[in-house]
Formats: sequence, C-alpha cells, structure tokens
Amino acid sequence: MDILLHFLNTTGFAQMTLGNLTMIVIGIFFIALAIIKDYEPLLLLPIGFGAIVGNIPSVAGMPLSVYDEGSVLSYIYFGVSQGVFPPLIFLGIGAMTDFSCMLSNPKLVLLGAAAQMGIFITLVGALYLGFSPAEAGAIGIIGGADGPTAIFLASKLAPHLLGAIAIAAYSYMALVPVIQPPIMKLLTTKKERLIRMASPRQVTTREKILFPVGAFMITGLIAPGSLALVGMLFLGNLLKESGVTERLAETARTSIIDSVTILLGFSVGASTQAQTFLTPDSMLIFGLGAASFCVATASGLLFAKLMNLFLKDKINPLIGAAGVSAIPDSARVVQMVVRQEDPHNFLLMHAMAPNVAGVLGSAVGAGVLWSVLGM
Amino acid sequence: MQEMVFSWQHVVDGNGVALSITGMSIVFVALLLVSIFIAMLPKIAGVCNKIIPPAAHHSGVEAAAPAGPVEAEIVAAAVAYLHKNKS
Repeated sequence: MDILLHFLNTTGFAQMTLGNLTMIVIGIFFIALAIIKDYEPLLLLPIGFGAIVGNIPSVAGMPLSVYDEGSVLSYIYFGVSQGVFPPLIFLGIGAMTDFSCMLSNPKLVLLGAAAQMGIFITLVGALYLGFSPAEAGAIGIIGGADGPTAIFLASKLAPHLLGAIAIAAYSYMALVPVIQPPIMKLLTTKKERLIRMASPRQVTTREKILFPVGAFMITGLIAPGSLALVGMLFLGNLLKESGVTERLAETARTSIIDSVTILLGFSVGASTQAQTFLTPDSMLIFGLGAASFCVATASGLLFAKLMNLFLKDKINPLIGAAGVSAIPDSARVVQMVVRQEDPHNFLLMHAMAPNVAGVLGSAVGAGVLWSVLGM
Repeated sequence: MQEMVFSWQHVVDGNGVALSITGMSIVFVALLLVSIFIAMLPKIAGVCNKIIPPAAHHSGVEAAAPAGPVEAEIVAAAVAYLHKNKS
C-alpha cells in the first residue's frame, strides 16, 4: 500500500498546479489553431504539443524537463539554448527561397529595411518598461517577425526569456493574417491599394549565383554577429542556385529544415513550464511583441508611401507590409488584401521581395544588437 | 527584470534612443548596399560572362536552356499519338 501511495504522489495528477493546467490549455489551443485555422501549423503544432509535455509536472529527483541537467529533453533543448537550430533553419530557408523577385526590383529591398523599425522602437519600449538593455534587445527582435532570429538572439542576450520570446514571436507570426490587414487598410487609400505593378524582369542564372556570395560579403562584414544566420541563409541559396549541388539543396530544404523544425518547435514548447513562463515579464513581452508587429507593419507601409513620392513608377504600398519577414505569410496576406480590392491584381511576387529582404534585415538587426549588447 | 517601474529614465540610462537610431541606420545602410549591389548585378554578371562564358560553366545551366522546347515537342508528340490512338 505504501508503494502505491508513494507512486500516486509522484504522478502528474498529484503535483499539477493551476499554472500547469493553464499552459496545457494554451498548448491545446495552439494545436487547435494549427489544425482548425491552419495558422503556421508546422510550428504551432509541435510548440503546442511541447507545451503540454513541458507542463506535466516532473518527479523530484528524475531529470525530465528541458531545464534538468542530463534529461533527454535538455539535449534537444541544447539546440535552442545555444542557438544551433536557427542557423540550420536558415540553411533550409535559403535553399527554398528564390530571390529573383528581389533581384528584379532592388529598390524593394529598402522596404525590408524600413519594417525593421519595429525591432528598434520595441527596444525603446522594453527599456521603458524596466527591462535591461540586453533583455530589451532580445524582446525587440520579436518585431523582426522571424522566429529563428528571435530564438537566436534571445539565446545570446537573454536566455531566461527565451521561452516567452519564442512563443510570442511564433504566435504573432501565426497571427499575421489577423494582425496585418486592419493596419494595411487603415494606412492606405483605396486608390493606393489598386496600384498595379509591372511584371518583374527575367533574372539570369549568373545573377542568382553571384547574389548570395556578394550579399553575404556585404552583410557579414557590416554585422559579423549575423554571420551564422546570413551565412547559412546564403549557403543554402547558393546550393540551390549553383546547379551543381541539387542533392544538398534538396536535403537542406526538406530533411534538414523539417527535422530541425520539429525539434525546435517541440523543445521551445517544452520550455514553457508554468513556473518559468507564467510571469508578469512574459505578459509584458507578449504586449511588446504585439506592438512591435504593428509598428513593423506600419513602418513598411509608410516607407512605401514615402518612396512613392519620389518614384515615377509607383509601387503598391501594401507590399511594404511584407517587409516584416514572416516569410511567406505576410506576402500572402498582401496578396489577399490586394485581391479584395482588385481580383485581377497579382502582387505576390512583388511582395516576396520585401519579404525576403525583411529576413535579411532582421538577421542583420540581430547581429547588430548582439554586437552592441552582448559584449 | 527585478521590479516593474516604468520610467523614461531607463531608456536614458540604457542609451535606448541612440541605440535604436544607430541600429536602424546600420540595418538601412546594409540593405541599401545590398540593393546597390543587386542593381549592379547585371553589369557584374556581364563582366563574368566575358571572363567565363556561361556555356563553359561546369553545370551548363544556361547552356542547357534550349532543352525546354525539345522536351515540349516530345511531350506534344506523345500526347498527339495517344489522342490519335485512344479508341
């Protein structure tokens, strides 16, 4: 009987707290969002399930959670806590990204830069709320709307906030179709939303091969802190475009990115134990994250409108919203909003230009913040 | 974060405004340079083509471009054959 009672005391039922239950419900909500609403299912499903796993109370003395030294989950979480997974994700993104849209219209790259305003304004907001400069930098990167970049920088600058930052970044990325359209409609006129853009020019294979090498040299030399991210991004792209490493490119954009996405999503989810996650800091991070997405979207849109003051061939300002990265969802959202106004206007390829530039911009921003705040 | 005290003094102490303006400027300069590099790419590619003609490229990607129409003709011929003999 004693053995049975002892065993019952070690079960999750006996040690379950209200916080754990809340996080389990949130995990189930994420899974429901992924399956029912199709919001970023590749990420929200593993994160949601990870949150359930991470909130089953551990048994004292048994290394089970991601935070217990020697536990199986801690080894998987190593890829997150040491920033190993994000560059591998970038390798896959590079191998599946066609930069043609950006190469055919280089001025659209600036929209990807403008949308990074969300990072730096959020940084000021986080400082105002009392976070340390390093914590503020890690929170600000949520505005880059790039999950891997957010995890990478948080692991370097504020590992104790990693779970909240990662969940906030991925949650808002999933909610791009909900967050962005009202801001897009608020900041543009119907006439602007109806602007059509000329078809992108044909880009040669030579240009596609030269681009990753040159762009990496520029960004890597300016912000060495972004070497791991942009290096892997452009390596993946060179594997794709070179034409001689198709097998490697195929592996990077399928097996590698899929495996890492599962491990990253699951271990980030498992790191959201109620005891470390349900804190006032996390609530502030979620608030700041939402604000940063809105600021980033508005910055991209307003900069596109500013550019139109000087351009002969006007650009549709809606594509500025795609500068927030969240690849490729924000570009899809642009197309969705554009088609509500004019079903025959196809801007997806144009929107992909600031979208991929945004990925580059947020990686450079992370590199800058790491260099300045991590030293 | 130890305690929640909202104050602009934190921003001043952390050089928040200067940090933001500097960071934003660096990102902008980096992407502006990338943009200029992209604008110059057709010329750079043209110079490269003179030094190493595309046909001499190991992968022969661009040299292989004419293969498309030939494949299309084969497919068209196959479809025509199947259509003719479907009964």
